Amino acid sequence: MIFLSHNLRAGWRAWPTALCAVTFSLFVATALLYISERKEQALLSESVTTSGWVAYQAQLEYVKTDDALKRAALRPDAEALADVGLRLEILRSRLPLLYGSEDGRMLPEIDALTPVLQRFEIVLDGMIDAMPALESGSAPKEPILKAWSSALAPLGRELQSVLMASVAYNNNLFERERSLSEQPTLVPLALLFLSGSTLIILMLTRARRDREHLRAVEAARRAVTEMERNLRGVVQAAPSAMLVVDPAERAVRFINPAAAEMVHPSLDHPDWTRLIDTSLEEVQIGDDGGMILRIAFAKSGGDVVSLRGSLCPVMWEGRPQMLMVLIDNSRTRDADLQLIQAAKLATLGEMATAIAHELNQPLAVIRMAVANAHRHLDAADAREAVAAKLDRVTTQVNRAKRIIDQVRRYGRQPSGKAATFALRPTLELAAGFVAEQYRACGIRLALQLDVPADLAILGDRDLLEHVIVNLLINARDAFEQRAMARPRTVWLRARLHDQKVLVEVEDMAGGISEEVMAHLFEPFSTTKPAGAGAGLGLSLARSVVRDMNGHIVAENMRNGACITLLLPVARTPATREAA
Amino acid sequence: MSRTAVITSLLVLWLTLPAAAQAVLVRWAGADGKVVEQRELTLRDLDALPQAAIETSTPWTEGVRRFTGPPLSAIATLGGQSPKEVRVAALNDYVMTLPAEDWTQNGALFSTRINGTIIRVKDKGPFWIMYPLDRDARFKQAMYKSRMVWQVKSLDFLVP
Repeated sequence: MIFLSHNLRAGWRAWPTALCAVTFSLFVATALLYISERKEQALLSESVTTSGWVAYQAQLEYVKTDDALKRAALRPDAEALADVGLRLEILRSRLPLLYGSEDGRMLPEIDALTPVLQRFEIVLDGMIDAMPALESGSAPKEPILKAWSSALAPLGRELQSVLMASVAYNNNLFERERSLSEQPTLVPLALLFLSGSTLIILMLTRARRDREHLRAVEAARRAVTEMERNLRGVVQAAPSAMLVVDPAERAVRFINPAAAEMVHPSLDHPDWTRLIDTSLEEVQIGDDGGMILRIAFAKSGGDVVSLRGSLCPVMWEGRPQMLMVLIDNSRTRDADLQLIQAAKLATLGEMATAIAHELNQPLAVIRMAVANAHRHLDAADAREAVAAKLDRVTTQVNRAKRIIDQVRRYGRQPSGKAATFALRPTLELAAGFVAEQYRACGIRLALQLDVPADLAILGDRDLLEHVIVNLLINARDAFEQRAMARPRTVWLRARLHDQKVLVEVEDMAGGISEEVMAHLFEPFSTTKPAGAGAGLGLSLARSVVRDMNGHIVAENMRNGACITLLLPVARTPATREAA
Repeated sequence: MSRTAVITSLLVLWLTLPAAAQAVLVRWAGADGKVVEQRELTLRDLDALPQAAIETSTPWTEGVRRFTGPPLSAIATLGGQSPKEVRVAALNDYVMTLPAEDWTQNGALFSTRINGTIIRVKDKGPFWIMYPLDRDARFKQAMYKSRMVWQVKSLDFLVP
């Protein structure tokens, strides 16, 4: 169907050209026809006027010659004879014209007459040559003249018939001329009219079609302009940041107001370059094949924003470039942080008894030491004994201080700021925090930290500490659920791998079942009984790790589960911060 | 004496008869018909005038012929006049009017001889007004052909 209509359309396009050619040729043909008709008429007129003239002239001369002969025969004086001579010569001069001239050749049947005329020429020549003798001679002239007259009589009859034939021929021509002049030049005029009107119709339809085309083109152009304007409006008004990036030059070509607010209004600001570099490094292929982004971007003010978005190729300013659409989900992250805080407080609440128990111990020792010190004050070697007791008090006070410090640090609201910090001390602190609980449960915590002490990573130190603590608590809880006689051990490892640090928390608690593994990092997925935990720990861990541009994976090992964190090493050395 | 007379008259007749057949009557007249001058030019008179020649073929002759005679302009200005046109009459009473440009610009020739011999009446003599057909193709048009009058009898010049 489409093929047919395409062919028709192609054929239809050829029509105007063909019609034009036909019209033009009709026009030319009409003009030529008109010209030829005029020429024919002129020719006719000319032939009508000239043919027969020579025949008439010859006939006239014959009559005059015959008359001169007859008169001379009556009275042959010198004058009459001279006249005869003249007439004979003139008649003789007219005969060749009948068959020799253009006008004569047009006479009908002149070809048949030519030999006859030529014979008479010879006769006349003879007579003309005999004239001087006749004039001067003494012989009687009348018989000779009479004989000449009768000799020329057939010539007279021939000339008469020629004249008659040419008159009839002329009548024919007159008829033709009349009919020609009467005949209206209908055919040429009709053709002219037809061709002219066809041409005009053609031009009009063409003009109309061209006007319609023009209108359509104009409308399309207006629609495009309108759409562009709408698009621009949408882009400008969109709450998400939209920017056009030139990947070759790592520069930003266009930002919408949301993007300007997110990063910086000026396109030349170095923040943009950093954002582009991070994005292009961290881009991943999503489920639908598109390019997605999940990055943590540290603004130059120190704030870290969590950005989520996508990347797609786009044609901008005639060049292929990249369109980046980003959403700032820092608020979600702040909510997450608050959740973390809430979870921490909840945990803290859980651990309140343990903490109280812990604090009680040094306090009890202090009390006993003070009481003993009082007793020893009365004795003689009181000084040494009291000093020893006071030392004991100091040690216990330090111990209590450490416990309180841990709690304080744990209860601190996460700042949300990124800074470079040393990894190893953080892991050691996390381990220290749960040390008492592990001891109370009889679980061994093994530390294998194969990283230099000053190895730094970029992120929030407190958050990472919390994540590790969470993992360690999860491991402890896993042991609680499966009461087993095997020695309970949890490993906390850290080692370098390429440019990244691997932090592993491995337990021997039997591992994670398959259906739980599928939803492990999703929020509110928990294996703990209701009321014991919200199930947010691992999802929060994932978002924290992601914010640090790292990865977290869980897998089942020999006898238990292993959670691995993959964190990028910071390029700048750690910033020292007061604890 | 009578014998001499007869011979003389015969001689004169012999001499003048052809000569009489070969004479052209030339008249100069004004528009009102008043004759200003009149001459009868014999072949001898014509030969005395400055001569010209045209070598050409014509529709009525075979091949290229040499026409010689005084140019028509020589005759036209004989009386000291500058005529505007001339009415040429032929022996068979054919009449044609020639405009002045034909003898002032077109080089019309009042030919008295063809290839050196005088022209007999039966050969369209004694005098034939000729144009240089071969040199200028426009003289082959019917208009000019009708002006090439043969068997010229008289020339009537119209003087302004």
